[in-house]
Amino acid sequence: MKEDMINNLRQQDNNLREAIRQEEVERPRMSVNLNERLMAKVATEQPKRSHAVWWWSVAACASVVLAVLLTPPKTTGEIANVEPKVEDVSKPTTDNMVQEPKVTITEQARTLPQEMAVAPIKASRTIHHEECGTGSDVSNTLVAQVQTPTDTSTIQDTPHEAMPTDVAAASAPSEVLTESDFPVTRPENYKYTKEEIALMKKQANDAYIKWVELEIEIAKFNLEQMAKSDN
Amino acid sequence: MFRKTFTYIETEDLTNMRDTDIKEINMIPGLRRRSPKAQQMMLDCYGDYVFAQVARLVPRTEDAEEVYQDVFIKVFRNIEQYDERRATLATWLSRIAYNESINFLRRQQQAFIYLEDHEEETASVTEEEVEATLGHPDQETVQTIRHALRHLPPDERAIVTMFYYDEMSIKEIAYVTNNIPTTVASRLCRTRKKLCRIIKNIINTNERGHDKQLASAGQQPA
Repeated sequence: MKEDMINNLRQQDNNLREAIRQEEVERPRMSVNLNERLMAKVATEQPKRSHAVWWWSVAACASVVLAVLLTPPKTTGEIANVEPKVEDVSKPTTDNMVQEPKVTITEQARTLPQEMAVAPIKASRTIHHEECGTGSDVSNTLVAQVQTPTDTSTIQDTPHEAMPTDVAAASAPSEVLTESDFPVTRPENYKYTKEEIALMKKQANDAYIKWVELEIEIAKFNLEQMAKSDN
Repeated sequence: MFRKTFTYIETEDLTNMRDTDIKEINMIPGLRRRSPKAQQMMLDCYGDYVFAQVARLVPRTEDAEEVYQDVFIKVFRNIEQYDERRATLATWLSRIAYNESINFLRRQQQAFIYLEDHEEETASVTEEEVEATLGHPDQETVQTIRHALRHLPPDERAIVTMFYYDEMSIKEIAYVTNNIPTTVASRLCRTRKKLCRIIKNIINTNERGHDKQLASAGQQPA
């Protein structure tokens, strides 16, 4: 309805139409070679690749975000749990023994003595238990030792001659378990020991002192050169 | 010139298609393939029309040519976005030309001095006055209207020209100017009244000037 009314205006406003027509007729025309210039400009213009680059950058960002989200946290919880165990050398060994399934330990001790060399800590312990036990009830002895951590002396005092050769080679030198006996992959072994930290500090101090001495020497040399040039 | 092509394709009778429509259909696939031949054909078909659209808004010819080039570069780049179901190619070109011209004017930040649009003053002009001024054929009034048109802001002048000269429908103008049809209709009515008021001012100023001339010549004003 309203549109019809407005369309009527087009027929009605003759003066306005005529005025606009005259304005349009008198408007300056475009120059003759404008289209040629435009075509030359279009031809020289490189095809725009921002679209493709944009998609690639989005894909890269998305993959990075996914990788960050899907990567499991490595050390945060484990270090917090393990930190107190590092203080005591003997206690973690017994704790580790508690965590390990008893059946596998005894079975390994009975059936596969040659595979024990792969995991030295487990092997040495099981052998000690075999000898400490009276022969038949090995698992009971093991459980008893695990429940009383003070019994580590029995582990240390056991003779080595009954061990198989490969296992003895792995465990013979260390009577007391230390940090070096732990597998390297354990997160607590990533931490520096106090001795290492002290050594690093000492090296840093030495390096700093050397640097200061060198700077002093350079300054002295410069002063001498300046004095010579002044003379 | 482009009256027929401005009508929406949905309502067109395909059997009565003109040469322009057939050319348009053949041209678009070529443009999508970035064919220089199709691009040249487009410039031949629509170059003058687009330049007129731009020159309405951008007064200096050098600037208008620059905007004209920008329009077609944009058209060639974004031809994939053209949707035949929404508008004809000419209407789509008008839309790009209008937007580029308005953006150019904004970038230039040209200080135009136009008659301010006071709603009360515009409302005080009656429809009869508007009809009397714009309707009855009168060569003297036509010249006054032409003078008054130059006092309109470029966007209003473009809307009036699209409606009266290009004979676009309100919907098409709304598509070109990115407005809703109701807004375009009300702007059109307001612009008519505004023109009428500008014409009145021009006539009054001329009369005062004429009186002053007469007074300085020692004659009595009529």
